[in-house]
Amino acid sequence: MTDTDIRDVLNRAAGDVSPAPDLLDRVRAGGHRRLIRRRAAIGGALALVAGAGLAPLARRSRGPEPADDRVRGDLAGDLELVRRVRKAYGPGTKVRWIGRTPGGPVAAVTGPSGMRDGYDLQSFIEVVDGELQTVESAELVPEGTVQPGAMIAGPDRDVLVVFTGGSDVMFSDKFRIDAEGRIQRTFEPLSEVDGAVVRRIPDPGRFVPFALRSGETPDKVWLANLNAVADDGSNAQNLMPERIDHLLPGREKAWANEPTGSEKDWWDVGAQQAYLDPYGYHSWTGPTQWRLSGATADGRRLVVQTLALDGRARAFWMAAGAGEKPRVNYLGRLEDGLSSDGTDSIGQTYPILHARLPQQLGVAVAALNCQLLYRVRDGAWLPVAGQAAVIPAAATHLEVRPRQGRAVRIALP
Amino acid sequence: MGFDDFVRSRSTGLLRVAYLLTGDRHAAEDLLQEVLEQMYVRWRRIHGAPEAYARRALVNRATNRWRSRARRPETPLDAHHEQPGPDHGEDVAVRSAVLGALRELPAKQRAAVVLRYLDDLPVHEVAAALGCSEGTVKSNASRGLDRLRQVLGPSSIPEGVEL
Repeated sequence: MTDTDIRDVLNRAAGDVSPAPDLLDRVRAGGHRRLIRRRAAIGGALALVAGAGLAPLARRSRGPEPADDRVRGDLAGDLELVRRVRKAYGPGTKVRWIGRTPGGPVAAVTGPSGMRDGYDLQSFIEVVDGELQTVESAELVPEGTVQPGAMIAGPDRDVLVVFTGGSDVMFSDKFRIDAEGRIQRTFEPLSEVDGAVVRRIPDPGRFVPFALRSGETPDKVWLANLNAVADDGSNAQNLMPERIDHLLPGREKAWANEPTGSEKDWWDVGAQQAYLDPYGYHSWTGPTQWRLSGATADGRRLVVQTLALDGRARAFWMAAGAGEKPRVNYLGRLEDGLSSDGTDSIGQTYPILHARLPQQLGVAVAALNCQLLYRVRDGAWLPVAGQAAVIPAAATHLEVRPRQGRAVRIALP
Repeated sequence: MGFDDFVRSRSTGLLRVAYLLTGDRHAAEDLLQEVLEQMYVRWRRIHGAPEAYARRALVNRATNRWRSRARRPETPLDAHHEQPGPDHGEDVAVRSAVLGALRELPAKQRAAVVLRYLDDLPVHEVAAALGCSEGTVKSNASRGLDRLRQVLGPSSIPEGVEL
């Protein structure tokens, strides 16, 4: 086949797909919802009135306060720079704060959103090599108001600038994972100087360790240039890696009455705040997140789950009877002996989960798009149905066969 | 170009790309809608080069197998084949063969092939969309094409289908 043939084949394959007639309406509605979620996430005060799209604002007690038009910051008197910033961000721009930082001058600005009346966009502008550069993303705020926001400034990305917007902002420089697999942080208040806080931070590299929160609720402070810091732009969307809910054979009786509401969250570590980092900025990249739900030999519910964070993953297991609240048990990080890497035919690695559960509950195994087999000592290889399972505790070896590439044999610890 | 005009004029082309990246019409529609929603929120910042942004976002999301509606029940790939619609039988066969062949490609190769040969993009624009070097694009596209040629060779195409 020639290149032309390939083009023809691809065109024929994709030829007749066309978007739904109401795509634009759905996109606009979805876009509005995203804006509302963003605002809600930072303590905003938007409400969605059923069927009415974007609703008028209903202020919460700690919602955005109207901002005066005074330019704050130690460069507020540099009228030429202020003028350039206004020009760079466009007509109607208000400079809320502008100041010196070790990474060069930075300004916090708002300006008309250009998308919908009654809303401004809030963002940052930094000076790089004498040129004004607008941070790539912006936050939608009710017109005439400001919200706390932050950016990582400087050529080495080692300066944190927090525009407080008049709110109390708390800072945590790093997190740790405790013995239960939970995220632990210590927050300290930031002391603003004329509307902002500027402090040196270690170059975060691809993964941002710090966290910022504001208000009594509290709310996560928006970090304007997470995309740029987190390398791959899609990482910074804070979208989770793919999660696969896999139902194991033999679970039907134990899960006859599927839990709902808060009881459902008992069985989902990913729904429990203690295991997440709600005020941190993470690249939610990492291996596929598995949630295997099945039953123990004595008829209890069993869940084995992995959670990804900054390219790594933790593994957990839970077992309890129907209606009982399970204890979340931490197995450890996948790289600590709970997984191995396979290599497919083109040299790309893929993770293989093999986490041995206590109490002779078995070994949780999973590998995306692979066939799995196990054996006990020198016995016959036994195939596993599907790409994930909890195999018997007696299993000593696992074989993983990718669709392309060589099979991998793993001695199970 | 305003956002509405962009959606009206480019959504078909972007959907075709999404379709070949995902191999599933519904997944492609979801993917495109998510990307366009994201663009709507950021339009002020990206309106200078919206199509490049859209391509990159489509590829990133498809490649990384991420979904904003992340929790989905497991669906074996084999069960995800596009079901024949009201097409002619020949087109259905071609589509099935092509989607199957693309599905077998690693995600980066698939994206390189689709952008280079469906969207007819020059190498540098594909590199921008994939966030990699032009050399990597050429190598991924070449490997992908080799694989497609193997899979889509005459013996694997149903009789009566001309490629």
